[in-house]
Amino acid sequence: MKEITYADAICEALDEEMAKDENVILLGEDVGIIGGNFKTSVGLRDKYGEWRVKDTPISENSFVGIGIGCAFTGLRPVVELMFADFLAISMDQVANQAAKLRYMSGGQVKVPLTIRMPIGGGRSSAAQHSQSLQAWVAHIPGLKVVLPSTAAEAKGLLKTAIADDNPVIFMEHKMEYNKKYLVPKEEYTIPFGQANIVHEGEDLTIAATSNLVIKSKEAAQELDKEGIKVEVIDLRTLVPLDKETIINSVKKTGRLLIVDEGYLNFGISGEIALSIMNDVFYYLDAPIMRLGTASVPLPFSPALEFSVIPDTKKIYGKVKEIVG
Amino acid sequence: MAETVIMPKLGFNMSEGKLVRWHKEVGDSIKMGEIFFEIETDKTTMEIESTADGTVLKLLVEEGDSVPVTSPIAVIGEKGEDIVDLMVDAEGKFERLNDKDGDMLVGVLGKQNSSKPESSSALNNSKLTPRARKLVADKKLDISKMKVEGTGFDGGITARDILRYMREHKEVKATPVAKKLAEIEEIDLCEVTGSGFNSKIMKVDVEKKIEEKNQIVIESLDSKEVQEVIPYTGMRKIIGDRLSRSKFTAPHLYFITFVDVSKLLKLKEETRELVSTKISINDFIVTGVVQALKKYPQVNSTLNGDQIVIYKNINMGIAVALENGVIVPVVKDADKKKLSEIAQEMRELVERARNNKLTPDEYSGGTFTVSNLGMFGIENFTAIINPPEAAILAVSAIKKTPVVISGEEGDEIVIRPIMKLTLSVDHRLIDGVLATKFINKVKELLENPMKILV
Repeated sequence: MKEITYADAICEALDEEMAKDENVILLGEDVGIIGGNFKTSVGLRDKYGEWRVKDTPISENSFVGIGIGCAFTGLRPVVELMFADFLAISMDQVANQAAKLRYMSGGQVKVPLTIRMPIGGGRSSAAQHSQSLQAWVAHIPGLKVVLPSTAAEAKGLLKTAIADDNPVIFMEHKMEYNKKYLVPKEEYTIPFGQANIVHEGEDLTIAATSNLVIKSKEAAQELDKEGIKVEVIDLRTLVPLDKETIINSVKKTGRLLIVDEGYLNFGISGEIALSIMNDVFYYLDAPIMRLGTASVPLPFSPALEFSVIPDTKKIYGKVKEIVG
Repeated sequence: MAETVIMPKLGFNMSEGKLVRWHKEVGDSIKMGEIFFEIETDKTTMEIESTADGTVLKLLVEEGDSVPVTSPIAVIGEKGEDIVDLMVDAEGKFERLNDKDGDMLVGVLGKQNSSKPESSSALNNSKLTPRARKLVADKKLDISKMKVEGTGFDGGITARDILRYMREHKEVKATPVAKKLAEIEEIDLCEVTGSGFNSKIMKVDVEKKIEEKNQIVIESLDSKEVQEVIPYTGMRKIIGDRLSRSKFTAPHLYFITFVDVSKLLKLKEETRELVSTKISINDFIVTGVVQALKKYPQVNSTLNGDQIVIYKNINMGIAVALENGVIVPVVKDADKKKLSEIAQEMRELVERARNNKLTPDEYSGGTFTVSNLGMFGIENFTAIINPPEAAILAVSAIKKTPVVISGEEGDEIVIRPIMKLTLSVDHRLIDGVLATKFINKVKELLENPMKILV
């Protein structure tokens, strides 16, 4: 194992895949000369040249479209959106083109496209640069949706995303980029659709996404001291969703808390809860609960911002509320 | 006047008995001394005689049921006698002894079950989680009777609340055997699904759970193929527990000696014509050991907390191999008995042991044990002390062996029948010198067996 930052881990995944396959290219704002707004492609332009690492104008709808076109021709583009919030501008390309063209062409074309983007609050980036919009994309058939938790997860999952023949929305949490994590030295990948139990327990299950997995684990360790054994599941991918792992865990614990930074209203936690209901109904010892971001535009003021997004303390409190 | 028959207590350690067979049915007349029923304890089966004359009015347990000792199991009286009062008493006592779990008796008595389990209104009026409802249905619980405190969402009752209540109030419906087995095997009865009447947990249910538990362990042993899984329970486990306790707490010290049994073999042949009872080599050995113990009573002792207790009487245990275990019947007061008496008694005990007919008194209270594997041809072995005793003698096969003896013309080699004895002693109680003296005394007696007879 080696200790590297989350941003370095992304960079390594891109580097390894580009070295392996010359069809892998990068597109996005500042991905080339600057090396990425969050330093996730440092040195790659120098190493692979400007034809494979392309800086684009501020025109998300266009360069996501370019990415789709490149993917048609057999390239494996990795397109970066500077913030997930800019999905809105490119949404026609993402939802109506990338997601549907393999189906509409009767399988004549494939779209092996990865679109990376940072999500999440906590940096005072305000209402237009802090959202967690996984529900937008998970809602659309034809898109795979990945939310890695740690650097090691990010690296292994990104390599799988690039190798996938379908469009993958890859959402990185912006508060993680500078954090250091232990990452295996040797090459590895992490398959889609296999949730990961990061902390075992019998009293309650937490199904979490992105960096809230880490915070849920912290809360679980705190609750351990009080004799409350929480099982924490890193969902890893929302599409495909590993329902089996959640169901088996809930059958054991009888209680489920879903933790995701997206807006609660009409969000993914409600969908996950209902999608497993038939399987777990007679095993439930408490209503399924969820923790997410309040239904408000994310505030710029840190004091206000932190009060509306989930954190370790809120997870701890919610578990106590459910367990009683 | 009608009389209640109870499950008898046949030994100090007996806490429950299983009714194996009724010899009489309801309505049959019975005389005092007639065989009334058969019961099985943890080690043996016994026929029990009637203690009263009259007619069998009620049988309260069915064949195969296990109940604690002193539980009422039948009523004998005069034909047509009114036994309602007696039955109320019996029922009360039965419920007390069976953890208030009297539904078995209720069925037999034909009484109206006043509280129908799980009345739907009770279910609907209390807030139960889906999991709790499933638990109530699976275990056929009468939740309206249970004062379960709800700690769940909005004050609702969770499955955990019910399980906690059941644990605290011992509300699990299980047969006494199942309860005991679960206790020994550390199985939480709340996790066992009952297959008996009213979802009562039976012994087989617990065994199934144990098997599941073992299965998990066994599956994890990769590259080994499992042929058979045998539950480590009953006699096997009792033997295992007792002997590992002995071996791990009593520091064992071993002494081996060779015994020339030429004279003994000859004497045995001679006694065959003198005594009606057949006297075996083992009978001589046991009697010799008894005499050696008389000389060295410190060997006939036990460690009881901070006291070393030396016994006056010698209760000699003899290890008997069974099909799937070992049992040690005891010849009581062997120090007061002659060789022929010991031989006679041992023959009967061994016979009863092999037929599972020993009463608990017959296999407890020993002060020393002899374990003889000579008949299986073993040359030498060591035995683990049978707790709480202080020593055990392991007897091996007699084998023709060349030995050096001092003859008239110096040393010479002759062939003699030699038997090896290995004495295991608890070093906390017996030191090397005493052990040596003791085993040498046994050797001396067996090499000059006339001394045993005198």
